[in-house]
Amino acid sequence: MNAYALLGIKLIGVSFGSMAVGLLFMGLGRKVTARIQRRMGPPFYQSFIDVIKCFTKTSITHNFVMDLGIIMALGGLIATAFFIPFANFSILGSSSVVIVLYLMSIGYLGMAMGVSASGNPNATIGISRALALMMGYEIPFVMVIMAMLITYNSSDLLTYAVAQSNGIGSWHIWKYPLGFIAVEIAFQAMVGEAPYDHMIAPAEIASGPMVELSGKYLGIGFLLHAVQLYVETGLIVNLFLGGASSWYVMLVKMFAVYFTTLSINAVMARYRIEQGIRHLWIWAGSFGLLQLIYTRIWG
Amino acid sequence: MEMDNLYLANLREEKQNMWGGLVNYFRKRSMWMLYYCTGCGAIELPPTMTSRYDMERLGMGPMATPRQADLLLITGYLSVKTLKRVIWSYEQMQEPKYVVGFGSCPINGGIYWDAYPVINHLEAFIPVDMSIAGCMPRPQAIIDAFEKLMGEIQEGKAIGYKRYEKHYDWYKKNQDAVLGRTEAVLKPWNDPFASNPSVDELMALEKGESNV
Amino acid sequence: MTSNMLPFIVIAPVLLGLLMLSMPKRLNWWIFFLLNIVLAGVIFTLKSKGAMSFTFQWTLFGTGKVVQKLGVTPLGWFFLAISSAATLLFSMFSLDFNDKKHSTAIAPLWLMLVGATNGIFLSQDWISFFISWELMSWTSLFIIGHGKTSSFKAGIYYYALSFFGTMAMMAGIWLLFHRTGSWEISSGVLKTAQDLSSHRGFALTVLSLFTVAFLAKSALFPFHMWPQMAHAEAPDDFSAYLSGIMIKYGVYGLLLFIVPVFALTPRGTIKSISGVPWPMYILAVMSALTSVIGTVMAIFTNDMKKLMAWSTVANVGYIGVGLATGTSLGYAAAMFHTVNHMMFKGGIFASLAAVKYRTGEREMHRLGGLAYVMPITFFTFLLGIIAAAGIPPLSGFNSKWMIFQALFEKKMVFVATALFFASTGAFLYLFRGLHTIFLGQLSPRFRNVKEAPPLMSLSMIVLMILMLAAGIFPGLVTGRFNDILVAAGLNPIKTTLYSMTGSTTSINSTLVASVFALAVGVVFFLFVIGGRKRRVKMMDNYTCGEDPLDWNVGPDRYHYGYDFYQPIKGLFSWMPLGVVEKGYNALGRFMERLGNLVTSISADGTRLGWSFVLGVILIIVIGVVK
Repeated sequence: MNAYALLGIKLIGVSFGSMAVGLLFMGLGRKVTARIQRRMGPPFYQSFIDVIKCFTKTSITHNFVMDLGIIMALGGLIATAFFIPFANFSILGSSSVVIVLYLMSIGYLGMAMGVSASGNPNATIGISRALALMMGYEIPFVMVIMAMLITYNSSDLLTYAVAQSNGIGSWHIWKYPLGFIAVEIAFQAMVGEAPYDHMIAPAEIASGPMVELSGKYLGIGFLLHAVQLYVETGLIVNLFLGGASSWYVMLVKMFAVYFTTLSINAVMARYRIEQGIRHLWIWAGSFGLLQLIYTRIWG
Repeated sequence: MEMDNLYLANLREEKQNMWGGLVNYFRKRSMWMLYYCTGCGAIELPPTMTSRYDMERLGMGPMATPRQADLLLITGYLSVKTLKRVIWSYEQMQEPKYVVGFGSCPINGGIYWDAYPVINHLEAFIPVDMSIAGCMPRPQAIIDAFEKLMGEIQEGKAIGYKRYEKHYDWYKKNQDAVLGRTEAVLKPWNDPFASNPSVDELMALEKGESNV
Repeated sequence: MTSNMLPFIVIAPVLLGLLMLSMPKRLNWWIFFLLNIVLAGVIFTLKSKGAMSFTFQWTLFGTGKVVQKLGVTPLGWFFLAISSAATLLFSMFSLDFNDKKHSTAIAPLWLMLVGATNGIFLSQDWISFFISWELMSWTSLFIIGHGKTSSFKAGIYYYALSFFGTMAMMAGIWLLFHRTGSWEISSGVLKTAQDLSSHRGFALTVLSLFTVAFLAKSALFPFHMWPQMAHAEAPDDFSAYLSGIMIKYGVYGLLLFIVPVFALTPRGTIKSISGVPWPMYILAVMSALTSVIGTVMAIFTNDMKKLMAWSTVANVGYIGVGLATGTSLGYAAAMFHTVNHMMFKGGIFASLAAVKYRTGEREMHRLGGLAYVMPITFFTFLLGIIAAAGIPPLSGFNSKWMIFQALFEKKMVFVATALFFASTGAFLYLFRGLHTIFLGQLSPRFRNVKEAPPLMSLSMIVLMILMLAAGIFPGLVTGRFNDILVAAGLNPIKTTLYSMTGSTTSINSTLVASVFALAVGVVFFLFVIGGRKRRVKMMDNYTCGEDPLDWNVGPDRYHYGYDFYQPIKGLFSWMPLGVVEKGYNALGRFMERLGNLVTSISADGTRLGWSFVLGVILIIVIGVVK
């Protein structure tokens, strides 16, 4: 068989795998939140049921831009998932963190375009909040990544993961403690959990970007969140938690990252948008900046 | 009402579709609801959703907009003015969609049966799949109703949306009869550009007066 | 014979432009288009003819013999080629744009400007360079003015800043001439590089005088405010040229004079910060500042042409940072971003011109939903903003990636942070443009708007193809840089048709594009197997059960567009953003008063007035005789 065809089949496997992992995390996450609130919660496979149901429903579209945007959104995020090393293995042989950061944006741009083509002001307000928040978390995140980048003189995620493979003592949590705090705060905003859930504020702007999504569009929206979880938790594990030597260790670590986020989410209220950004700049930003200054001068 | 014929036709259709049963399983296990808080019934929903009765066990949860929801809850009496909004929301929901009426009011008007702004029979305007009697039904009754609805979805009996499609004329007649009594408070929007003027004419219009 | 082509491509457009001043408008646009085809053809054949030059000598009173020389260098040819190709596309666009209703009389001046541009890129001596530079300045002043009072004010603003730069450059040229005794650019470069170690004060003075000229032309800090007036007020079809080509003269100047000087200076001659000579580090900081200011101003601008003008300022900041790193990767990145900016900002301004052509609106919140009636224009704008935001698989990502690699190589992480801020902020203003102009509710006023005319659409389609090609196959552009880098005495960069190698990693843009296509294919499959979809009307929205039309809210009021980022406005209130403008305004008022004084003295026809005029003449005569 042709090598390219084989790679293509593997990549299709990765795309469905990343969706499955993300949906599993979402289901487990709902269970965790339910237990924090002393409830039973839905079964762990509930997210799969939800998404399949969404695809069996009829749906509405306002125009061609909406279809295009929603396809571009999930496509962009799945393409990003290809560049995340899973269990110290990068399927494309390249996993530059700059590509990951910028390729993720095409997903967000697609989503933004699709939902704002629906013409509902709530959707656009949600997107404008998401973009503004992006300005808040991207800067601290990038500063920490640059601290690693100038240490290793490489922007490959796999290099970072391999460098931390000598037991828990070699993890970057210890090497970049301030950076880890900054990234943890930024991560909360990246996945849009409280106190940074401005984008999807159901009681305020009727779930923001999702307001006009129905049926399979909503299903793709859920898959988008699933792949986003896969990409972003995978990013954190490769950056700070030492990568992983086997697939189950990787999954456990990824879920641990998400678990922390959920625990904070379950007990926090929402900031106003400008408070949220200011909080990110002041706290995550200053920790990130200190880490960058430290690494640049003494690192 | 040709309820029976429609039901049989639906069963026949689902028998031909080998995935029908499986699809119904997903539909019944993931019902997202839009609760239309028209009356006192809304107060029974928080305990149903939160830790005490935990509706999420059944895969149910609240959704923000009718586009996303499968289940429309009419929680209490329905005034004539609200009816228009309910119909608008119901028509925005995507198929398959189900309606549950809470308490006596949507069934026969309840204690408001002789109030001039309240409608008495909800099922004359939109198809109701399940009604919960009581004033108000307790959370146990609500959960019980949802489980019954799930059974009906699995069996292919909850086909209100198909009924609405088939007998739309009848529903429309009833709706118009009531909605004709209401009219918008403000002056409704009329399209000033209905005749599709050219850009030049638009400019002239803009300079002269701005009525948009 | 072939070397006679060089003065032809400079002088022919200028002379023909003068001739065209008396011809009918419609004919002028055709001549403009046809001559651009000829020029592009000639310029693209120049490369294969090898090195050539054309010399012209004359005697200047008091300074001896002047040798004027036009020649083709790799750098000059590169700029010449991309500018002539872009001009050809823009002139094709203008051909349909300038119909009876929208026509302006700028074609002759624009043609002269094209000649001046060619002159700048061909000049091998400062005299020709300066003449072309001046010709470019005043023709563009009249084009920006194009007979409207508000536009002329913007033109004057632009010309005043540019004049300031030109004067600085003239002083620099005189100093250089006195030092070297020659007008040649290459000898000036060599001498200044030597002077940096022996006569440092002199060399730095010359360099800063030239830098001021180039910064003023490229709208880098502290000259960053003229594009938002000039780009916005210029004729709509000319804005693309202004932003695509004219803003790059300063970049060319920096590459021509400043960059080689520092490349020739041995390492360690000048104190360096983070491995970069300190004057260049200052340039990097100023460029990064330009990017940040441009971005923040663009976020809160409601006029669509002003918004994109600020975006141009931000992008020139990237180019400046790339130049300031002083590595071959940085230079290649700067040139690559120059080309990309020419394509995507050309495309964006072309689509905005098409929008203005059809609707006559410039304020964004009055538009909306045009994507449904003008799909080609929409896609041009979409690809343009994807490239401008630096998102793969379009061309902007490749050049931004190279700029960041150049910064990582020198470990200039704080400058890189500022650029990342600008890059993230770019999403905000670009999405605002996309939503407010093209998405959302279509106002009933524009229900019968049609797609742009065929030639305008065609040039936009070509721009789209170019953006995609440079994005998927970066080697098409980066492969051309090695000649230029080697000619400037630098190491070549490692690049193939598909991939680029940076300091920390290499990326394969073709691979990125193909996996993206594959992923989109997977999602498309999911989309197709999903339940059936139904198309609904635009106003059929979730509105909490209310019908907006009942509340007298039509589509144009329902469109979310005005004061888009109002909630986050307060976050930037601490930034002293208007300080530089205020300073210039104060200076402008002072000069106005001075001018009034002179006018009042000289214009009243009294003895005092005549004596003032005589006095001025006397001073000039004394200066010349001495």
